[in-house]
Amino acid sequence: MTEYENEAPISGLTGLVRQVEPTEDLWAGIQLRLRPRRRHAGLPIWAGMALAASLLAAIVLPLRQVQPLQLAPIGVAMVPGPEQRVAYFTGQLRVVRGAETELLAALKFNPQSPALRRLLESTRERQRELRRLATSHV
Amino acid sequence: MLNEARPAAARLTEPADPPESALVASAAAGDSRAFEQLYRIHSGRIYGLCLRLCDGDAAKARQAAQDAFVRAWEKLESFRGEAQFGTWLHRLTVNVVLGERRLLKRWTTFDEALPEGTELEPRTRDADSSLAGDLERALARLPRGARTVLWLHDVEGYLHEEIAELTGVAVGTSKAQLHRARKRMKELLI
Repeated sequence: MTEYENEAPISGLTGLVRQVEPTEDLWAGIQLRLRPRRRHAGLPIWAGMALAASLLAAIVLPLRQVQPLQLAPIGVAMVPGPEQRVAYFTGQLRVVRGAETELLAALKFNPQSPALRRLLESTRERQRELRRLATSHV
Repeated sequence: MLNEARPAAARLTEPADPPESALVASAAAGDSRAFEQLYRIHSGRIYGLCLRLCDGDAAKARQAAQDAFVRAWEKLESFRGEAQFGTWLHRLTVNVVLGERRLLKRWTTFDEALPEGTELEPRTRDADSSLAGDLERALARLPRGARTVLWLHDVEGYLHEEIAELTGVAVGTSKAQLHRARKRMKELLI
């Protein structure tokens, strides 16, 4: 098939019309056929915030327990070995990143929401805090 | 160039057009209003593609375009953003239109040219333009399979491997069809 490799395309083809508006609006017909999404259908802003807040709570409470337990013997007792500490911090970071993702999705619905923005900043602060703790304890 | 034909009838409620990535994210989360905006942005491109793939049959092209957007809605959660949304939508449209088995059976033979004088949409930009008019008339004379490969490869930029995957023909068949199409076009344009 090497004879085709050096074959030149037809000049001018790429200049032909590619974009044509339909003579009638097709949206009505499309909309009738769209099935609502079951998993994410109509996620209201409050639901996004509630989900993000609950994810954050899952992190904040144990983190507040960890913070005063930064003293090595108690911290070690809580998360015994280095591998377990890596797994602990990895898991916690995953949850916090999940909260950040949900908040960013909620912000797309309501980008000006101060509450969402505060939550997002808190989430990012928690990530920084986790990384700092991970660095000092792993 | 792809977005130049945004319809005047589209009225966005937001004070400024949101970026397309935000529309895609909202639509993927179930916001049909965001998906309508995506439709408004891409309808010309997708309908134009459907017209090409449906041999200029406007009714078939409208149905195909609707099918493509409905399929896009269903598959939107699988869009990972590796490519631009328009590119993903374009490929999905080709898949929808060419996926029917009855089209695939005819791809290995070099026949079924449309009758001479058949007028295909879309019209050329200048109806009397000699080059564009000649090209459109020559395209109309090609067999469907060859014309489709020529359009997808030389105009839309698809690779033979992509054409093969989308159509179910072998890569070698796609290359052969392209060669025959170019050869026939040159004969018709003399």
